[in-house]
Amino acid sequence: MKPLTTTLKYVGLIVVLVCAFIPIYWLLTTSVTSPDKIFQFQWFPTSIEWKNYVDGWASAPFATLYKNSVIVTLAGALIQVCVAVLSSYAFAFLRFPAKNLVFMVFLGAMMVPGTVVLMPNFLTIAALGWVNTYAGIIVPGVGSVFAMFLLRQHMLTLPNEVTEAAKVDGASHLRVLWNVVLPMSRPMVVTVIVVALVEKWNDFVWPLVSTSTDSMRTLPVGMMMIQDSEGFTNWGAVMASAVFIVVPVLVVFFIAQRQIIAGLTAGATKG
Amino acid sequence: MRGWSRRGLLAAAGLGGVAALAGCGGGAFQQTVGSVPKAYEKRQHLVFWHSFGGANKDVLTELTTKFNTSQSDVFVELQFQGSYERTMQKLATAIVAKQIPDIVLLSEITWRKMHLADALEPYNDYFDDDLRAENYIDQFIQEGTVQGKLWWLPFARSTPLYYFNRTLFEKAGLPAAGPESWEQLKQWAPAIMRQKTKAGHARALALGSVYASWYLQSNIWSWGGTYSKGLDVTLASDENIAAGEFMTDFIRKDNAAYLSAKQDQDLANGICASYFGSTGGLKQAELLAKGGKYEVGTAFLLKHDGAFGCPTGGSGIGILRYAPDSRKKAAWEYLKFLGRPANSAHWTVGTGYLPVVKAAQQEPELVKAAKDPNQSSALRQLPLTKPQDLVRPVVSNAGDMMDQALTKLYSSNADVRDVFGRLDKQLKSRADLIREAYDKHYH
Amino acid sequence: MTVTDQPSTAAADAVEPPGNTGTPGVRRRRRREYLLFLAFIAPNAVLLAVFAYWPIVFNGYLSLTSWDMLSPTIPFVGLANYADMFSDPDFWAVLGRTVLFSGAVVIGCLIVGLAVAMLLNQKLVGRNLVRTVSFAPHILSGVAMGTVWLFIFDPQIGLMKVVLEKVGIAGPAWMTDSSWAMWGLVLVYLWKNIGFVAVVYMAGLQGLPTDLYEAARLDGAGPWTLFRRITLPLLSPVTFFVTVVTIVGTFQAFDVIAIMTNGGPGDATTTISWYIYKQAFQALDAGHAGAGALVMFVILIAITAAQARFMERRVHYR
Repeated sequence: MKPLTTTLKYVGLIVVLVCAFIPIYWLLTTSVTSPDKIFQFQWFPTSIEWKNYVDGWASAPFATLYKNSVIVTLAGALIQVCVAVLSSYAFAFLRFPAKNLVFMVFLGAMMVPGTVVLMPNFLTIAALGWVNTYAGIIVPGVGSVFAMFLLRQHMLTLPNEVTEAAKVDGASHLRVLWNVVLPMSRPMVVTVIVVALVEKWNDFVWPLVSTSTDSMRTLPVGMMMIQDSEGFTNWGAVMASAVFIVVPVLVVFFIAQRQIIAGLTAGATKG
Repeated sequence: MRGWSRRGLLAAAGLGGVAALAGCGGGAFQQTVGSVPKAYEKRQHLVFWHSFGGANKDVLTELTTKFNTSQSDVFVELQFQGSYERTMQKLATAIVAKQIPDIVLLSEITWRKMHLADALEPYNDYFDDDLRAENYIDQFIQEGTVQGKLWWLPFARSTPLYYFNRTLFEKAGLPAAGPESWEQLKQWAPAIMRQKTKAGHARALALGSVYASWYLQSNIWSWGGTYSKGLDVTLASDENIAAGEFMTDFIRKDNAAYLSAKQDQDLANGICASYFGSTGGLKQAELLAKGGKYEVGTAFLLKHDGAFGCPTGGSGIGILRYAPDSRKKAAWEYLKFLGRPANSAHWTVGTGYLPVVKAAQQEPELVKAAKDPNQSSALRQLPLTKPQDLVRPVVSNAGDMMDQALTKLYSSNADVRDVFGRLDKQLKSRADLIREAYDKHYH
Repeated sequence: MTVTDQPSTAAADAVEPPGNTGTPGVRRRRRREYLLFLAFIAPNAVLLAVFAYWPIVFNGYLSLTSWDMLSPTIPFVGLANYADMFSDPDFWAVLGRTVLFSGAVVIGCLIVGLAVAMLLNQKLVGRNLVRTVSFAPHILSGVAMGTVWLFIFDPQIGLMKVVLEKVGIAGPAWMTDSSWAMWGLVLVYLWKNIGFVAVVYMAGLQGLPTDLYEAARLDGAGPWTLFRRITLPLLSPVTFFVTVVTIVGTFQAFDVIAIMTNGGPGDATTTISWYIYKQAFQALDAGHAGAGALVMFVILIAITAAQARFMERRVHYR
């Protein structure tokens, strides 16, 4: 009885592993399958065709797309986390009348989905002259609710004596924030940064709407343009292009998986 | 009706907490960002938004590079914007944002939207001794003319064509010229579908999901119907429903046709034996045939009961009214270059689009290519074509709504009468929305 | 998401007693602190006001107009767009489809996700690897992975076809078949979300009190009873969290739809977010886009509010 259930459990484990991994595996193997073999089904590639990566790279201005994605991702994530740190510190340590009410108003913004703000925000950045600029892609997305919430919850758990002691020494709030609170919140700050990085990197609909030339497009939007221009004919090259988008995230994920998983699932456990 | 101005609206948008910054967007139209190679820095920079991919993009790039090196005043930068529809959507948002290209490729549908929105510059005053309106094939000039003014310069004009796998047809013992009528194709279908192919067996006909309503225009006419008369929608007529039901029967009862996302590749893979495609897809189809070692044939669209109908389509070029005069003039130089008989012939030969300049047909390059029966079917079919019914090109989003309804019919068991009836109603209410602007521009 | 405050240890968080004026020095210090508070929250406040709250108002205004984003004038049409939408069976079909899509993904995620979580909660060799790998789909670009799935669903050369053939099923045409395209998308979203849900459930499972199980087992309860009577009820806060997050996520589904189906064939995969995008940026119909956006917003608020009410009741009950 017992060995049987153990075996069943391992079978289940393998099924989960295979189901989750197969599309990723398929992405990687197709990206090295030569065009004439793509119509013959094969579980394992018999030969490796690196030329797909050359073709994929040539099918869109990937150098520019990469540059834009990196700029938008880094700037977006850093500004967002700065904004979040400042406001979370205020909500955790500073006094203000009806502070909780203000906090609730901030949290309410979480209820406004991205699709709903799409057209109005486009018109707003159009009025600002920001269409097809980095500012236009980045700024509307740097307001922060979730990261602010997580940081504040974390700051509230910090021992009170530390901040009080610093203040008695005559340190300003900025200094307390920088020298005391931030170092003590490092794991949570890392978590929100990594989560923000992944989200900005994958963001699709807003860059799609707010850019209009190849010089400003990001990787996911570029991928869409490939579909439009080439139609998905050369699957190997298309998959190679997809690899360009996926690999940086996979690398970050396997380095910082603990922070990412903690950050994305935090709402459930910290609630 | 109360009207608010777009300016006012955008100013209101700016009031959302950042009023101080709103000034930046208020001013004049600016050219959208682009990149100019060092060697061309001192020139007048023009941005051309287009929709060509694959083989066609290469030919346009070749011609444009030739233009850029042929003179020393103007540099034209090509910017790919996706399908015709996506190009128009981007153009609309670009106009809202006041960051515009100078020249834009517009389909037979999208140019009318831009014309109704007063975004286009009429060409009449630009024509000179180098390039006259009479140089172009009259039919195409007429199509781009409203109220005596030309808004849309012919460039990549096309008609639908019937593409088929000639090798497969011959194997099935069928004439190498392809079918002439729907009745014939229906009769031949079983023989076609018995043949072994790469993918097992091929279906007789693939129906594209993109521009489905452009292709069906032919059936509608040969069944004696119309999509609309002027702006009056006539979609739910008995003739149209009969035409639609012929298609759904061919799909559902005969199991001979199906909805495809990429017909030309399906043909290459032995999934279908024929499909309807644009003449502009000819080069791509021939490339695929060469790779797949079969022969692709083209023929006229199919008749029904002896009646024939074929719409024109494809795209032309518009100059944005909002661009400054200097750039409009420079744009005209580029368009003149494209309109030279030799360049027009080169474009036609390289892509399969119809020749738009009369003299191009005497160019040696095109004369030679026209000997290819595939290229010549398009040319021979041209005199039999006419512009499609007005509802599809004029009413906003009509083409998309019609395609959506048709792909639904092609991919489900929906009833033709229901689907056409509902579409008829939706199009009528949409048509009413633009009737005022239409009357102002067309009467 | 629940936003209940944790018991705070920070003294400054305590509410100031009203009427406490204090000495001038204290008052000045307090005013300084108030100003500092405002300065600290200002960037976020401005951003959220402009890019999250103002759009709601703006949508409300646009929904009362009939603007094609091109005309220089913006005709005011009152509630005509709403009347038009709610009398259009196609719009109801969009709503129904969104609910079906969302519901299918939520139910699939809850059942499979909990099963996977319970499996991963066992002491098995390699479970950390499986946990990591099954979570990965959640953070990969929807555009890139949608492309892969498009290839997998290809009716001629796709992996899905081969696998189904192996078990003797002739697969459908998936993305070009009106009745299957939606289920294909459901599959993709399940793949994207199950690992995430499983990890959330695992956190919940690890927090369950073991002594309760011991006691129940002593009373002779079998594994099924334990699961139904203890595990499920105690996990219900997690279940609610997962439900809300998944509903919000599926209502907003966009990138995968954009790359795989464009809302088609026909309108077979047009959900509310695709509908809004299509009205705004394809049909250039700002009025319908604004109205659709407000309808979506109201629906999500209603779902969340209902969830919050339910949670409150449960908390009291416990």
